[in-house]
This record gives sequence, structure tokens and C-alpha cells, in this order.
Amino acid sequence: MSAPLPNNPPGLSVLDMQLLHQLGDRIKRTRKARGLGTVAVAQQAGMSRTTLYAVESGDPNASMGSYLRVMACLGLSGELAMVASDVMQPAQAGTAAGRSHRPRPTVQVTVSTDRSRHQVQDLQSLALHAAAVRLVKEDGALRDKASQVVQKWLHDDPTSRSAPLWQEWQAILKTGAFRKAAGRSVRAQQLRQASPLATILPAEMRLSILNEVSQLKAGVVLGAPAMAVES
Amino acid sequence: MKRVDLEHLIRACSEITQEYELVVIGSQAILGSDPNPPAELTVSAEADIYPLNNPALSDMIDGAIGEGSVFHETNGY
Repeated sequence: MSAPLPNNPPGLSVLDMQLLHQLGDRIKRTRKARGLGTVAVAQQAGMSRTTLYAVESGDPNASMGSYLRVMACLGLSGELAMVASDVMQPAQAGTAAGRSHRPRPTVQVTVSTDRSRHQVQDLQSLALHAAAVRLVKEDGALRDKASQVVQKWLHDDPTSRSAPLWQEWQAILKTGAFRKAAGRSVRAQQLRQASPLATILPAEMRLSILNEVSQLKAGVVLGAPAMAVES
Repeated sequence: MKRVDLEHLIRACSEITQEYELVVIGSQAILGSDPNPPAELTVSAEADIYPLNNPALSDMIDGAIGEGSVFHETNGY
């Protein structure tokens, strides 16, 4: 597994984020393909529409139970059952399967980013932000540095078309409302596209995240003895 | 982002990659065909650019002048 990012929640790598995004996208596509609205599915799953939106966005803060309930409503539980059961685990010692000399079947799954280049860019931005938010919450000096960067941008080009977003960032940095820019909504994307947060990341951490995204573009193979990048 | 900012980015991308045919995608691509689009369409400070003949070099662009870089901190885009 790739190195975890200093993320929120901790330990989430870019690969983990991509897997959650793919799961959320698939849940949303399945709901739409079945002609179901968010109101109906949220009601059936016993949750608010906000939670359903979080699940369909691949939000790591949504609970496993919420994912399960939505997947059950959409008839997607079967695949989770395979993961939960021993179907994909090695046979126990002493059983006929365990004594078999046949090589174990190898299952490999290649995970890569969406083919749309612009969506890759947004995944990268999301990962950079998640790491930066974590650092800013731990270190007030970094929050001050981000504020100074925005202040400089506004001072250098007060007529910039991004000025309204920079002003909103000043408020976010003051109040700590970082979740406004954390999701996959259009508004959150827009905020990230004019954000100062990534500028506070140490160079090696920034490059590590860029490297993870670059690997995902090429395709990361899961299920092999060791993770490898397809050439 | 203004047209002049996009032109600055394109010059920087050419310098980094030594490629002179670049593709701009995303919302700021509108600045290519319309230098003065409505302001609400150009609030983003990000342009996604890659070399037409060697898209893999976009990683170099990201590393050198992408989000969180010194270039970004200096210019605001």
C-alpha cells in the first residue's frame, strides 16, 4: 500500500481517496440507472440526504454503516459479502484446499484515475488540501502563513477575478471552516481552485502527493504480492 | 484568471517542457477564444495545461509551477 497521507482522517492515501471516489460514483450511477431519487433512497436507507450525498461523494467521514445501508438499498450488498466472507481468504491448514498443491489463484485489480484529465487534477488538489488542512489544524503558524499568502495575492492584484474567492479563504482561515473546501461539490472545487493552502506544504510532502497521483494515472495494481505500477 | 495570466502560464509551461503546442482544458480554456469573458466564468485561479505532443510532461508542469509551488505562491495562480 502506498504511504499514507497526513490526511483527515489520518492514514488516507491518494489511492484510498480514489477508491472511495470510485465507490461513491458507482453508487450514484446505480441509483440513477434504477431511476431512484435521493429522497427515496435516503428514506429507504434511514438517513438524511446530506449523508447520502456524502456517501455518493466517497466522503471518508461517512460511516461504513452508511455505505452499507445505501448499498443494500441498491442491491449492491453481494459484492461486499464477498469481501466480508472467506471467499477471498487463503484456505485453512489441514483442509483439502489447504493441502492442495495447485497454485493459489491470483486476483489483481488495477486502480487508476478517471480518464478525464481535469478530474485527475481535482483529485490531486483534494489530496493536497487534505494534507494541508491537517497541518494547519496542528500548527497555528502555518495558518498564519496561508493568511499572509492570500493577503499578498489580494494586495498584488486587488482586481483579480479570483478576489471574491480569496476573500472567502480569508474567512475560512479565520474561522477554521475548512470543510467548505473539502468535498467534491462544485463550490468546494471552485474554492480549491483559488486556494492558498497547498503553498504551506513542505516541498517533500507536496512532491510525495504528486508522485502518488502520477502513479495512479499510470494505474496501480492491487492484489499482487507487492504493489506495482504498470509500465 | 485574466487572459494575461493564462499567457504567463503558457509561457512558463513552454519554458519548462520545451514544448510549444499546449492544450488548455477546464473552465479557463474559455480565455483562448474570448479574452474578456464574463467575470463569473473566470473566478478560478487554476488552468489545466498539458503539452499536445507529450501529455506525460504535465507532471513536470505540476511539479514546477503547479498548485502549492513557489510560482503559485508568488503569482496567485
